[in-house]
Amino acid sequence: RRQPSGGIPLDHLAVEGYVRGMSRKRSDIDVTILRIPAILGLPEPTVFGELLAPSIAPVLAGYDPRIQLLHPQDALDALLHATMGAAPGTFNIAADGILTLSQAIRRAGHVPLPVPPQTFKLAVRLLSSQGLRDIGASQLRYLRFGRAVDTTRMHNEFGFTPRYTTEEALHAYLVDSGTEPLITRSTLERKTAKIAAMLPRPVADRLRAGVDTTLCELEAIGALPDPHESDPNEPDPNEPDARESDPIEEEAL
Amino acid sequence: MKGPEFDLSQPLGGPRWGEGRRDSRSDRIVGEGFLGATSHSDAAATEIGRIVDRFLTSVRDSLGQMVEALPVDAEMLGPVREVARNVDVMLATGDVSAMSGLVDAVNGVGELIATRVTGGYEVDEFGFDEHFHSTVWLPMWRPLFEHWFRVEVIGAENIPADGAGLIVSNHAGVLPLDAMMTAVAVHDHAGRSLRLLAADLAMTLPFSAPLARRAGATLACAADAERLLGSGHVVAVWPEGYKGLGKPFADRYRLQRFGRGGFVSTALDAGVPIIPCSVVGSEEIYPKIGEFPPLARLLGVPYLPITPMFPLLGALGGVPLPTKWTIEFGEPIETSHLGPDAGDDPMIVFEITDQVRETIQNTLFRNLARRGSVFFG
Repeated sequence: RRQPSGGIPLDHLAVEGYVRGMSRKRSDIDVTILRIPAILGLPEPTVFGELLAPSIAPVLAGYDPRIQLLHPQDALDALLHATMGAAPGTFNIAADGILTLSQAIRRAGHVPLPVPPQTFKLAVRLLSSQGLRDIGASQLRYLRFGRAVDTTRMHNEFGFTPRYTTEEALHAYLVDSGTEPLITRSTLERKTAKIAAMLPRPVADRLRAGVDTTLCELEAIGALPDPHESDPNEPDPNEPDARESDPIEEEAL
Repeated sequence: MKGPEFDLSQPLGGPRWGEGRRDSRSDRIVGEGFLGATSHSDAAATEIGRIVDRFLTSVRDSLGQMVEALPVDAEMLGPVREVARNVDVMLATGDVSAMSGLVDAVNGVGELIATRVTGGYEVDEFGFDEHFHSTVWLPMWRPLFEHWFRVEVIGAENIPADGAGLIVSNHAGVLPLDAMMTAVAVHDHAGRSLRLLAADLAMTLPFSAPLARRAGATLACAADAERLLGSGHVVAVWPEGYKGLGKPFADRYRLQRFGRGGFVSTALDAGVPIIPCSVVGSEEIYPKIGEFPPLARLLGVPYLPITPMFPLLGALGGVPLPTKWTIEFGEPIETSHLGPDAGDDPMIVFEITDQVRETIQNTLFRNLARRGSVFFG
């Protein structure tokens, strides 16, 4: 197993070492160490959260890390749970379910843009609207291989189950931060309408029906960002529908 | 309206050209249209015309023989003819039901693209993406499996229909194509998704790492293997590792050392059956007759092979030779009756390791003796 060579991971390791040493010397004090791989939530969007914001999100070419996300509320609950008489020890705290980075970006309705690792920081600076904070070596490593941890002991010994799964935490973040999806149901429908226009009518009908069922299935999984949820700003994708429905009303009148 | 007729009893290439033309040419002298009278040069031109004509006739004859020698017969063109007839029927009657196959195919591709673009697929904790595995990864290798290596699968019923199992196989062929072929065999003949325990290199290289994870591979370590077996997956392991994959052609079908038996103790801990798997044919796809150790060290790969074709023919050397393959899954070796503590007993572990190794080696020899030709089986 490779040890971290420096930076924040090394600090984590050192702190954990000190704490463990103290718990050995003072066995009358309960010590609980919680290891949380990644939190995604609004008050403090992590590097990962900021990567989800731009419509074209840079990713490292040739890598697709697995990620496990924890909602900030669950992180607080875990801390609370540790102080309320849960079993002491060292536990991994992570939500159920895994996503890959490109999958998360696609779920957000954005497009991942693979860039060579050498130009990654530059691409992030160009594409991210508010400019990403400095990406450290440890974060680059995380963006290569990701991290998925075993949470069996969290469930059995620590007795804690996060309320949000990874997918729900992602969805909550997307709704809270108000990112605008690039690929939505209506854009996909418009694309298929263009293709259907080139096909003979019966084939096009079958195609349209197939697309409808596929889109409904995808929506059921929560893979298609729903424009109806962002109420305050009038969603653009609904406009073409309104225009299409107008002539029908005129005919009816 | 009647559909277009394809007369496939005739060789391809339409009406035999030259026949019709020769008739009209026989009573005509070359150059006649330009000059009123014939001369020496006209006679020469006639002679040249005859020579050209004879040449063309012979070319046509040999082409005809070649077309006839090609294995293009009515059976092979059946699907093409079927599609043509369906298109014709649909255009004539407007009845879409004849085209349902095509529409389903279009819909399938559309669904695939929509799912990949919106991320509407599930990934398990090892990064295995079942949707990718069944719609992209396996279809990519299936042509190689069915038509290039013409893999014969024996004993697929030895793979458990549900529940965990550990497939232990020999490893050969410079590139791990035998892993892909085993995955296709397990999926198509036993209906299970194979999870692979892959080498560190495959899991750290860019592009290969995410692809391997999506296709069901994970790092070959005891923790991951135990977790996979504990959740009831069929797991495959190649204990020879690079020693087997990159062994010289002269050592083909001679099993290398089987690690330290780590796979056996993992199977004993989980109490799952071990299924020995012997692959014949993988050794000859890239016959390795030498290597460049310094360059391999420079690139950080375990070996850089020299095959009769590889550096010489460049990228063409990457095409595997079309050998005939046999994948045989042997009788499962049950481990559950030995109890979970047997994994800590080195005697039991060595014994079972030897048993698995012997089984694979003997099956290899048996299938090799049965095989007549490397390429035709």
